[in-house]
Amino acid sequence: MSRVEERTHSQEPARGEQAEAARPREASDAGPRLLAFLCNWCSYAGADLAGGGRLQYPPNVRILRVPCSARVDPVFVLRAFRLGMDGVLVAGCHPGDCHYSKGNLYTRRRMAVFKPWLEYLGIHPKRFRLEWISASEGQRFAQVIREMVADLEELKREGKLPGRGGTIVEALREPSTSGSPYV
Amino acid sequence: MPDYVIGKDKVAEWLRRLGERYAIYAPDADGIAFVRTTDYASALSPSGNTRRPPKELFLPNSQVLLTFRQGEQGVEITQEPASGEPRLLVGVRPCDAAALKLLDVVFSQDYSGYDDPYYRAARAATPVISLLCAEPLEGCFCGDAPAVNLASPPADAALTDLGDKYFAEASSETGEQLVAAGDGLFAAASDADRAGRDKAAAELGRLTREGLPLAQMRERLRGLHESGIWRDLAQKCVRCGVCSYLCPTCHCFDIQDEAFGSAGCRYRCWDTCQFTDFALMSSGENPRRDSAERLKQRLCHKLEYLPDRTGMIYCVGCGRCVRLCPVGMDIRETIEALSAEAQAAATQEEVSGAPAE
Amino acid sequence: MSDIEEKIREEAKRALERGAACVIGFRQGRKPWRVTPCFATTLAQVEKFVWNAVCAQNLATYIIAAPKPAAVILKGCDARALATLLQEHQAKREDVYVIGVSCPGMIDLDRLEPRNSWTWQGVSGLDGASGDVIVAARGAEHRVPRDDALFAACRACAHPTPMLHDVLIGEPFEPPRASGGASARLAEIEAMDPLARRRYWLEQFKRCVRCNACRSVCPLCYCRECIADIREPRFVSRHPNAEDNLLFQCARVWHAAGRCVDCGACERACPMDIPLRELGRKLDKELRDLFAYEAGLDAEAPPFLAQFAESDEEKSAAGSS
Repeated sequence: MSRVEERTHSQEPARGEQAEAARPREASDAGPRLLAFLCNWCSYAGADLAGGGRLQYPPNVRILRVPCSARVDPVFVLRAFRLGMDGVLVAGCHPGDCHYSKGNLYTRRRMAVFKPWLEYLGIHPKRFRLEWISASEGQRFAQVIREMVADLEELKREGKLPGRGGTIVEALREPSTSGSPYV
Repeated sequence: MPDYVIGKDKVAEWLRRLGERYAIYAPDADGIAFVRTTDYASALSPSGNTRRPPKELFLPNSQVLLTFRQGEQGVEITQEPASGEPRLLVGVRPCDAAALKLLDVVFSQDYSGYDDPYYRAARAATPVISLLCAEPLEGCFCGDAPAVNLASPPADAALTDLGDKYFAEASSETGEQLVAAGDGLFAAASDADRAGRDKAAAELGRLTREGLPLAQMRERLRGLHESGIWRDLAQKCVRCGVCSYLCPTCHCFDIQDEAFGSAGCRYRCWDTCQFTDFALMSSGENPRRDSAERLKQRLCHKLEYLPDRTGMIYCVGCGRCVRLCPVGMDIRETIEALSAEAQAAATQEEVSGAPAE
Repeated sequence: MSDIEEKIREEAKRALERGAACVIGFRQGRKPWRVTPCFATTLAQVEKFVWNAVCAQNLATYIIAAPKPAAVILKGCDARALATLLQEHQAKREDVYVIGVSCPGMIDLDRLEPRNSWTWQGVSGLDGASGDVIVAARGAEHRVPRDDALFAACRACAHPTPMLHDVLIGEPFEPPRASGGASARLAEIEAMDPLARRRYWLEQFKRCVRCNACRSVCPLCYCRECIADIREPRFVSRHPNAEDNLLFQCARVWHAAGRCVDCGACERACPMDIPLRELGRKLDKELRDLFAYEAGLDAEAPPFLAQFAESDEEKSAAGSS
């Protein structure tokens, strides 16, 4: 009996599901993969509102709930791209409205420095976005996801998305890793 | 052992013929690593050893051991085959050739009780042609390393530059076959050729001899395990892995499982006793918490424990650690300091009749 | 350099006499062109201190673990690294006695080694106090213009005189060199299209062996458990393939954002000659352009990325694409 069948649906995404969310999919998967870090108090609630209101937005997004947008170390974003995500969204409360009063103010400064650097690393600017989305902005959440997915699809059509690197096993078999990269 | 000479202008043809049987690997133009090459005319260069040791062709920095996948029926595990692509290493320096022999011992079933099929298959499929360096690099001290035989390195065929030709000694049946592939290109070596080879080897030995008592360290280190000297010597070590990773005889590796979602693999990768967490246990206990402990481990492993177990000294004087250590740790200085400390302690013991502190 | 050397020894002795637990400086290694850190606790050991054109290593790396009070010989870049450590409360100012030395830039021995002029067996000395570098080898002298011989980081240095010091040895230097070096390369990389840039970075990091020398020599990488070593969860794979090597380096460089002082220790330490500084220079540029901030100049200031201001709103990356 597979674990998947036995597991009941839960409001809380378990860690395994989060890992599963970012799992590189098969080549036959349709559409770009977007990972969204949403802060619990504002943007996650906003996403929930979108869901509750049956607002349509593409299913390509996987959500990772964090207590505050400041929890997002840009290294997580780098890791998401390394693992094959096409796009990453970091969303938090509007500055001034942070549940922890100042978290998103750190995020704001941090991401101002990080975003241009990410581009310097070869990640197209449309692949990473920072947004302030409040708990009442279900519409906005859906809109942002629609926009990002559309942007990623366009990048894909233009051949500007790098290859995903496949599953971890395939990544580990890259010729550059089978011994000396010179070999 | 039978020996031959081959004109330098004939070497490209010899390698071309061998290239039909083997994938040929030789040092790249910058002397960084052994790379696959078909530029046979330039394969043999006079410079010193490569920055990356040829051990990486037998014990790669990363090697997948098995893969696993969550399938319909449960977890499917697939072991990586231990295959040996026929390769030929051309231009391995005597230090590195000696180092491969040292690695053969620790990877053998007799020594470890365990068969390493990957190492064994790679070694079996890869003959080695060595070449004596024309000049040493800064930091080289192979002249002091007991494991290194500059005149007759333990390669299948050992070459020495004699000016317009190479002296070639075939040291194994495979070596004979390599030479036989150059049918018509080799001539028998004369006494003068042999003398030339001996002279070149002696000269290189002279240039790289610093008087380091490598063979005596086994006994001298025994009395130093409790000494405070390790702390002084290790103070500047920053606990990176440069020395061990680039050492041709260091061979520690880690085995990691990494999985993502429903697939993953088990791989091995280089590891080093110099990393802080090398000996760290899951309880949090770390028997080698300080750099002093770790320096002692590395030096004693190479110069005392392995010699005790195998009779061979696991330093070939290649000089890589000397050249590349970011803080200028110099194993030659370290050995001299330890040797002096051991002798001072022994003298004190003699004088006072009691063991030194 | 010998009178700077004299002064360094004098100051080091004074520091010991005044109660320093150790003085961290350089002594000569086995050959004249090699130096290595020395932790002097006696006056006799201080006699071994040298100062020359190859004293490149950043001794600030040793400050956190050194027995205190510690005296340390620091160049301009090293002192800026100390300023960052002080900002982060990794040492107390009163526990560190800084013997600052104005630095004309340090020499990259690899640049001094044209293949056929000499072999290192033959080098008996290195005279590179200022002006050209003169290498004595095989009975002849070879002259290499200093600018050709400097480390890239030294060529780009804007603060060769340690601002943080208890005593300063040597005349303060004007930044003698335009930072053209760093900006030109940055501009080249910025001009590539994103996919080409990605390929460029992956190409550089194919040869990384994950020795961690870059992390180990950096004075600012002092975390007891590095994010790259955490096993559960694994943020950065241990596997040395280009993608994960690049992730490791980006994680390291990002964690040094706003803290890195571009001393170049990482690039010097890399056994595979990977141009590590190129990653961090872009971050430095953003910090300068957006926030007029440069790391290591003010030991009293709070760490930059651990703060915020109203004015950040104008530079916010939110909403943009």
